Amino acid sequence: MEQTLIPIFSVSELNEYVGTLLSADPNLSEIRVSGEISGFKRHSSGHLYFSLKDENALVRCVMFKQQAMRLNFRPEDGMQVVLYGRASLYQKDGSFQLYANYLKKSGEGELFKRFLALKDELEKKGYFDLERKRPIPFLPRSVGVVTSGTGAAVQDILNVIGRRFPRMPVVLASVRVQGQGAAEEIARAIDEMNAKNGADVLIVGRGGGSMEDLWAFNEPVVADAIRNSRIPVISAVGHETDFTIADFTADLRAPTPSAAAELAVPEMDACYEAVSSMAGRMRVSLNARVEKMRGNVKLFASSNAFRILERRVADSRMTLDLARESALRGASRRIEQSRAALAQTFGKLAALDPGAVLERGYAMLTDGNGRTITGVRAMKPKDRVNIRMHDGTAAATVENVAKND
Amino acid sequence: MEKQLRFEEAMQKLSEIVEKLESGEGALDEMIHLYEEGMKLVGICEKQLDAYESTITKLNEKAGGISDAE
Repeated sequence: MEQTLIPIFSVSELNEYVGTLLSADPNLSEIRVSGEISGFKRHSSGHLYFSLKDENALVRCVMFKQQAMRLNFRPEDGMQVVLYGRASLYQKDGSFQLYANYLKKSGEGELFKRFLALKDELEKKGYFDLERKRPIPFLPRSVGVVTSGTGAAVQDILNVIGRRFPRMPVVLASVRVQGQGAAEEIARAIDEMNAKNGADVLIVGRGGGSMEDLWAFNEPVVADAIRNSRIPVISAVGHETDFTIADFTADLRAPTPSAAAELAVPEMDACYEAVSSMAGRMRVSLNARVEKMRGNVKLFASSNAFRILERRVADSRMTLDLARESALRGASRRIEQSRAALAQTFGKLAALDPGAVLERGYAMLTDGNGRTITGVRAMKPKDRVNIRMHDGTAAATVENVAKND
Repeated sequence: MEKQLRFEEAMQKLSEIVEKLESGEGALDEMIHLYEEGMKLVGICEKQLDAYESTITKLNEKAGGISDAE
């Protein structure tokens, strides 16, 4: 019987056999499959599990951590990708699946080509010329922000502005930043900011995303609006690695929305400090100037000519002082002297006072004319003399005169 | 507001004055004149900083539409 010739496999044997068959097929060991990601799961181990599907079919896929780490985008459901890898059987559950070495977003190549062509064209038209870039004001009176009103970017921008310059006014133009009509909305908002003279600087951008997500910022209509803006524009599209036409056209490109806010406004405290430091420097230099002049006066004062002059003045002042002092001293000595002399004179006078002498029993003789007779030479016998004593006078006649020998 | 000196213009003038003052050249009365002019600019700058008022104005009230991916 034919049936007995057919071997009986265990399940494990079957799966192993099919697995070996598949692995041996050169067409399956290196394969590229295009499809849409569905049922995407990132396991805690770091492995990625998902399916690729098209309109009619689906295949299970796995991408191990080591390969997944090399991806330059985050795969998600609905994304069109090309998978590079091999096809084989997962023997444990007998399921056919793809082992991915690499994923590439399909269409990205196409978009990138369009981007390069557009960039080339606008560059030739002078859109990116450095000489037509407007300077970003150091301190704007207000900041205009053109982005999605519900995205993370607007929060980042408002946070940074609030931290750096808390009282900075912000004019927000909420626009769609991806999808149909987004580019036109962005362009209109930039025009409107200019028409309303709403701000001194514009931040135009959005948070990160795929090249397709960022595409509105590659549209020529946005480039035109930026180019025609009177208000300087800071672009802030996606992450540091994302470049768009808007970035090249803008007056300044910021790597992220937060960085754009940093570039748009200074730190308020630093502004106050800068002003007061200017005031301080002026004060210091004026003071230094005055001090220098004071120093000059001192220098002149200590110069030789001045010192001689000064010494002469000091000398004559000293002489004057000395003179005044000695005059005073001299005068007082003289007064002392004359006072003493006077006292002596008084003493002498007192001694000469005839009254005092007469009191001691002496007498004074006067002639008839009242003249004092000082010796017997002036007398002869029979002369009349007056005897004057302390308590009265007596008249007498000279008997004889005898001179001392 | 428009014809008033902008902050950076005032700061520019101010720093020129500071440099002149710091060079130490010129007569004293000239320096005093510069100092007074500089102090006027300091006042203008501070007044401008003081005048800021935090406001968030919506340019258009149209719905935001699709938000960012992040």
